[in-house]
Amino acid sequence: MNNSKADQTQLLAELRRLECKPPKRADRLVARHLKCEESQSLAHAVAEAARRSSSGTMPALEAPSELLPPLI
Amino acid sequence: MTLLGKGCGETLPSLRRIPTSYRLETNGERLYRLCLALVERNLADETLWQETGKVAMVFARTAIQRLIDEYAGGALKDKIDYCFEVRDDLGTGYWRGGALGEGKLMAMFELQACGYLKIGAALDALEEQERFLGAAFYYLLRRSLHRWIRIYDHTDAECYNEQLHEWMEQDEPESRDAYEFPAVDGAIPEPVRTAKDWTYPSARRLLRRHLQGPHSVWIQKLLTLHRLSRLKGQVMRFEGEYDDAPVPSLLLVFRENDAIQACFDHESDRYNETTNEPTCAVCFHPESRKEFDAALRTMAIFLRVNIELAGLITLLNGMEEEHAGQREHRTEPSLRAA
Repeated sequence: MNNSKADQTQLLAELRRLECKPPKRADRLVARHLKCEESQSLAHAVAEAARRSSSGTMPALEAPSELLPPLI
Repeated sequence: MTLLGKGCGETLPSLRRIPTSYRLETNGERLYRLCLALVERNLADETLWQETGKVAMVFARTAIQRLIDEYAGGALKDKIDYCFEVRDDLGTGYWRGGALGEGKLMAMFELQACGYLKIGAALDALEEQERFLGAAFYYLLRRSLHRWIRIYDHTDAECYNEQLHEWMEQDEPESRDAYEFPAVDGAIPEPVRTAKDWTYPSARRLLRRHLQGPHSVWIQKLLTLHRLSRLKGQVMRFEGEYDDAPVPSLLLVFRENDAIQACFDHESDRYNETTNEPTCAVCFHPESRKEFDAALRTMAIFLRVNIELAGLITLLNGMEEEHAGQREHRTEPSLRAA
């Protein structure tokens, strides 16, 4: 019982520490971009262009010649 | 002779050190406050924190999922399906991403699959016990459910029918023959049509007289549902943030494929064209003990009402199935031409 109480106190302290921790710079940047209308429209344009150019099929990669040399 | 040549010397890069997921934690402090509230009320503990890899999102989600599973215990399975979400902004619609208020969270149930209750056979059986007993049962069920969920019943079918007539009148004369009108009036049992002046006390009084009768289980379940529905919750009221009211959580018909069901089938086609309010939502500050407890209580009442409803669906649909073969009108079309 005492152990579980101690665990709970410890967990509460850890969560309080995390709550007060300021967000990472990378997170702040991503969040700012997610809210920015220009970023959103750019992301949409890139995704749309990628969708159009891929034409929905898997591109076939040419095998390097070294992998399939002539048998003789 | 060489069967295979030398490799090209290039190897595929290892993906071992490449991150495969990214957690974006904006407004992370609200998430940690929610975790704190869950731990303070013993709804989550250190063991779960370790099990979930000390990831706050997974920790909170698992704790809430376990809480719902323990509470509902699979009672809603194959009856009504909801999805539960906790958000820090408004979800969809014109106000998509709209702020809830400083430090607030919204907990909400959204419908995934609508319930289906065929009540005709049960009403007939109750009417056999006493005139208007079935009508009282139907009245109390509808009114109790209306407090917590949106249901689709004969009144919605009547509205749809009226609307259909209006559309036909406004349409070109040559197109009017194309309209089909569900025979809603004919689908409503006579006692329900006749007895309209019900009040809660009058319906309860009549039902309580039959608490020891052959259908006591149905009546007890309904009275439990009614008592639960009268409990006060802090349900969030929306003011135009969504295009439409919640999607109905229950389709309440008298017979399978009757006119009410036909109307629902027509209307439900457009349910997902707009954004609908969640079925039940509550807004709270996780650090406020009073607000967090009120949110828990509201969600618990909502679940209990649905659990009792699921119980009634099992009982009454079973009754309907037993009597299905005895009715002549079962094969009648639910739509008739104008």
